[in-house]
Amino acid sequence: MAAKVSLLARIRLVLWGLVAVAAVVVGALFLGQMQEAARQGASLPGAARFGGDFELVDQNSKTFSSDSLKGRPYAVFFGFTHCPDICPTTLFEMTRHLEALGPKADRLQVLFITVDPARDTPEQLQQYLSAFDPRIVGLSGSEAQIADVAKKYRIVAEKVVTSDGSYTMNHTATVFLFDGKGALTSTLSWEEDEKTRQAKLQRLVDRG
Amino acid sequence: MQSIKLNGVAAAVAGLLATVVVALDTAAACEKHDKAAHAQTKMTRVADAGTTHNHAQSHAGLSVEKAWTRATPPGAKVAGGFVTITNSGKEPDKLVGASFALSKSVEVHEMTMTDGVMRMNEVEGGLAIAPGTSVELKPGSYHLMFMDLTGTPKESEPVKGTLRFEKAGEIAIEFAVAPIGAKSIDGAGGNTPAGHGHGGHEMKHQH
Ligand SMILES: [Cu+2]
Repeated sequence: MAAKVSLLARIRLVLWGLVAVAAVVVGALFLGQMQEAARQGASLPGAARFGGDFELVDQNSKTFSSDSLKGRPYAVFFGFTHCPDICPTTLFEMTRHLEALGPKADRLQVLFITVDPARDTPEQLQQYLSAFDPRIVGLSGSEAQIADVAKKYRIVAEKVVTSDGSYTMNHTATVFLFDGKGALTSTLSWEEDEKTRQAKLQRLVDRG
Repeated sequence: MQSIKLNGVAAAVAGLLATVVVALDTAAACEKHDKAAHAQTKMTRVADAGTTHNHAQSHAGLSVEKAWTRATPPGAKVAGGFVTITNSGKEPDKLVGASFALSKSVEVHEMTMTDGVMRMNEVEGGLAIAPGTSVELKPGSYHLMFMDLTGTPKESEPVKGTLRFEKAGEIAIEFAVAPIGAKSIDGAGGNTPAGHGHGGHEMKHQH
């Protein structure tokens, strides 16, 4: 038994050593890339590619293309309707923020993308979203379409089975803010107070 | 371009290696965890046997207040429930289950928020309430998860439920219903019917 454990321990040590070596290589390559990018005056690698094009279905069962976002600022966040706390709260807060923005709110497109398309059909989204600002667009799609968007926005979305045989979703809850040029400018987080979030949205719509 | 490819390959190798090691670690940890769980089960049984004689006393020390939930959007199938449990007794107890008049089942969950990712897990084996402590189930933390709603909680219409403790048994409570998005019971407003206060303040023991 002891011999077995020590063999495992040795394998672990060797493997961790290899991990360390590989990590150093990655780091070195990455640093080189960054320096190259800095020389050319480019943004951080990958920053320009955050987000991206998609085509999904809205709560009225109409196709929604990211093309329609061009030229206007937008806020996008991911969630699901079988969510007890953060999703309805974020939708409620976005409703309040839109209200506080006044007429300028019309410039801002707010998107709620489900990470649970199996249960969040357009009909389910329509019913659920009726409790919030009607300008909020809810988006669903096929499992593959949702996986693709989640990847583009680097969203964590993992299914967790519950003891009643059903499931819930762990997911990224950050609200991403994009300007009219489609560039990520800021984020809203659950931990921030209402004033801070409102100011960020105000700046976003003021800039256009 | 070349460097990006190399980078990717190296990262993949590192990731793969790390996964293997983590898998090994997890296997080892699981073994340890199983042993610990067995030990705990035994301990619990011993404690149970010890308290059978003074059962009535053991729940005198447990009080439950500020039970609340939120109104849900139409079509919602789940809701979160919140409550503050205080153990002023001398023995530890555990919240092991609950019921809610408008849901098929209730689970005790813990929510965490790490680097913008919301995670939710069932609290395995019940939520411990140590003697002399108060545990607040609240948004963004421990909560009761009302699964499979059979009705819609409406603002200012309290909903009946129970909390089940390992030693104190079942305690009947009433959940005040705050508006959608409320962060605390204060959001429930003062509209609860007279005599019920904030709904959750009143409690009864039943067996
Ligand atoms: Cu939960």
